[in-house]
Amino acid sequence: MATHDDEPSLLARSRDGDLDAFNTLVERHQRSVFNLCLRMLGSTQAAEDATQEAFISAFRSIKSLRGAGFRAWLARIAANACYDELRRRRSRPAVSLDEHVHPDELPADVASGEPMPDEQAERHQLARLIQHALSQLPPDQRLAIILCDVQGFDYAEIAQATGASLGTVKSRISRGRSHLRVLLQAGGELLPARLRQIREG
Amino acid sequence: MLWFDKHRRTRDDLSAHIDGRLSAARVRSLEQHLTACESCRGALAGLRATIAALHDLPQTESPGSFTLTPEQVAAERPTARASPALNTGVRIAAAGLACALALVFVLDRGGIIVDSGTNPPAQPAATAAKAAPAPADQAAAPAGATTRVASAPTANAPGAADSQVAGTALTSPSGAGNGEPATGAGSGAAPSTPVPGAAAPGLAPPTGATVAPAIGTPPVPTPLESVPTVAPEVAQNANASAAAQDNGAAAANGNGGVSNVKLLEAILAGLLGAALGGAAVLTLVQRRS
Repeated sequence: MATHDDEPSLLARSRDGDLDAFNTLVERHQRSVFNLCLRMLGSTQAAEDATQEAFISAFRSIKSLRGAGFRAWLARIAANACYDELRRRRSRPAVSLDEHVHPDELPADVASGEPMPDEQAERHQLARLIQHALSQLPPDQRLAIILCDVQGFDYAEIAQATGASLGTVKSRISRGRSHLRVLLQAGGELLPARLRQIREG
Repeated sequence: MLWFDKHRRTRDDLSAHIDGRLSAARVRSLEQHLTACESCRGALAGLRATIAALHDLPQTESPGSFTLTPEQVAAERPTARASPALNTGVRIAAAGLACALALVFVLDRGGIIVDSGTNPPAQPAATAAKAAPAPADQAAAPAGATTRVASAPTANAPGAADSQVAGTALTSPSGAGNGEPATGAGSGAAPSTPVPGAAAPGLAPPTGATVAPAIGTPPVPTPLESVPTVAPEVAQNANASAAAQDNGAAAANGNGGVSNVKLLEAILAGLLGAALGGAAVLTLVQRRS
């Protein structure tokens, strides 16, 4: 069945309106789409909404996907859903302060094996620190470094996912990383020893 | 190249260098600089550590399945939230409608206007806008904004405040109590004058009241749209007592002959008001989107 279920054939069937085929794609990509939204928005609830919204609009517009990578195309739709949410927050800022950007509400790390409790607490602490710093970056820089350094996209994919030129992508990643480093330096004492170089220099 | 320029260029290149995106020539010159410059070496190490921290971010399991049901796909639009683009479209359409309606009402009012020269257009509109918040609890903020818009023309209006109308308009909604679209009461008062007529004396320049009928329909609970759903209620809630007095006044005024000059004046004032109103609505739209 491998040939029948590879991505191109699933995409072709999705384009013909086959919801089951599309749902197979959803299952394969939902984790990374959800994590992208979670890092962009900093709130589990908002990330769930944005992810669901992204898959719905992806199914509706899948006929517009031509050739280029599905992953980057999907990331672009998810990023748009996140921008929509960020715009909504801006239009009612009073809500956003209380309701969003609570890094501590991030679910505990499920993926890791069985780290020692101390180690786990440290990782959890670091994740909160990074999420908090990410939420202070301008959205374009945030998106660029999440795609690059968290999701492992290459520059060309990021250009496709953000609709920006390669030069812009390069500059956003560079600025985003420098900016993030400065923000992390502020929480210096909380950084684990192996990341102490963030603080120096 | 000056040392400082090279220094700065190195800083710009560090991120791309880590990703292997520099040309061989740039890499050579960068590495040369790095051997000589401790500070840039530190920056490179700091950047690498930052990236390592991002790599370490745990991937969170998705909280559930996001697979789609046929119902989700069949729905025309995600019902929970209309897209901002749609909202903007609705508002722009509403602004256009508001301008058109303002014009229509002005022309209508031109027929009512009297030689005696009282000029009451803005005042009742302002009061209608002020009355709006009372029935609709969630419309407080937007109505405030609308009141601001509506009260601008008021300042210019010769002080002929039709205080009777104002008073009744203000009090009647609370007197009527429930915010039900008063079909019974409203239609009871209707025969003598059509509903627009009751609200009309005030409808000339002001967006506040005029926008109301235009965008009463959109279900999206954004402030702009919620004002209008209220305003017609106000107009209709000003039943029996209020509407009767209102209509009486209008009828009394209507006895005078129509002066062409006055008509022209009214049209011009109305056009100005409509333009102002439209601009105000569009500004609101832009600020919100």
